[in-house]
Amino acid sequence: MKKRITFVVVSCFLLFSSSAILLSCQKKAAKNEEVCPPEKKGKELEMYQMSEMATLMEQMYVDNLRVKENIKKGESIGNFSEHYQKIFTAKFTDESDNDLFFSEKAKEYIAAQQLLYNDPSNLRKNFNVAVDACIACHTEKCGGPIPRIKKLYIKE
Amino acid sequence: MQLILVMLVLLGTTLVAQKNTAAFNANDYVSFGQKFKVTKVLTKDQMLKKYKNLKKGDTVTVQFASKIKTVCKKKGCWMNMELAGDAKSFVKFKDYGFFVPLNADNSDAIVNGKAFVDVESVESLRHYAKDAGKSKEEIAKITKPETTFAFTADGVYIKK
Repeated sequence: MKKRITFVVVSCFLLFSSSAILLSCQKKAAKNEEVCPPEKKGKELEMYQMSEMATLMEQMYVDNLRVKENIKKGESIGNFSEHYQKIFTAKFTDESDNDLFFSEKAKEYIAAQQLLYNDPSNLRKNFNVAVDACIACHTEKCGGPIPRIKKLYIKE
Repeated sequence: MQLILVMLVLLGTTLVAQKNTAAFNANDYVSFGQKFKVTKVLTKDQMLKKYKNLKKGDTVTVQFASKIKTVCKKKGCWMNMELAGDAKSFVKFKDYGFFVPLNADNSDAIVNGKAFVDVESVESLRHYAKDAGKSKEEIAKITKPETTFAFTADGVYIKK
């Protein structure tokens, strides 16, 4: 009797296991068909296209990373980049951000950058003052990049 | 009897393993930011519980899956993910290093990164409300800082 029960249980187990595996394979096959459909599925994703101002900000970030490394190594930082002046004319992502506050902060930023190149005896301090100017504006206008901008600071 | 028990355990393990592997298929998702291995993904209910156990200053590295409620309409530089009930998680992207689609609202997503409790200032809340396309009247109603269930994602998978 015991042997009979064991035989039935083992048979059921084998039958159920193979069914489960078969079912799983079928699901996978069905899924693969879904994965590579001939036609596009879902909605077309709409990505943000960088404005002139956003592109300039990204460029300035990369420039400042390079300047930071040069200061740390004691190498020349070159001359003030005239393309920074585009900050007064570049098109915004949202034109309503182009207000009096921004133009004041932009002037302060350019002044801080010029001081960096005109006063080589205080490179570290002047560089950090320029970073302060970025953050002062971003705190009001767009806080998203602040954690990244803070990484520019040269630790004393 | 022992043989039956062993078989049942084996069968259970097989079924659970099959269920887990079938749960995530990378081909069903579009990736943003850093790609990550989907391991232990919390549900929106589990994530809310996790947040409720966090104190200010605590940070936990985690993955969770939910629906995107709203996305920044200017750039896609933040999004709100549904948690249980009316709660939401405010997701930003590590180092402003990537954005999500502007029209990703209502999409299913899995995020990987750090969860923490944060307090957003009135200025920030107004800024985000403007980004979300809220009216001037709605923005003016924001007068108090808000404790948020914050999340810094280094990677996001959005379902196609």
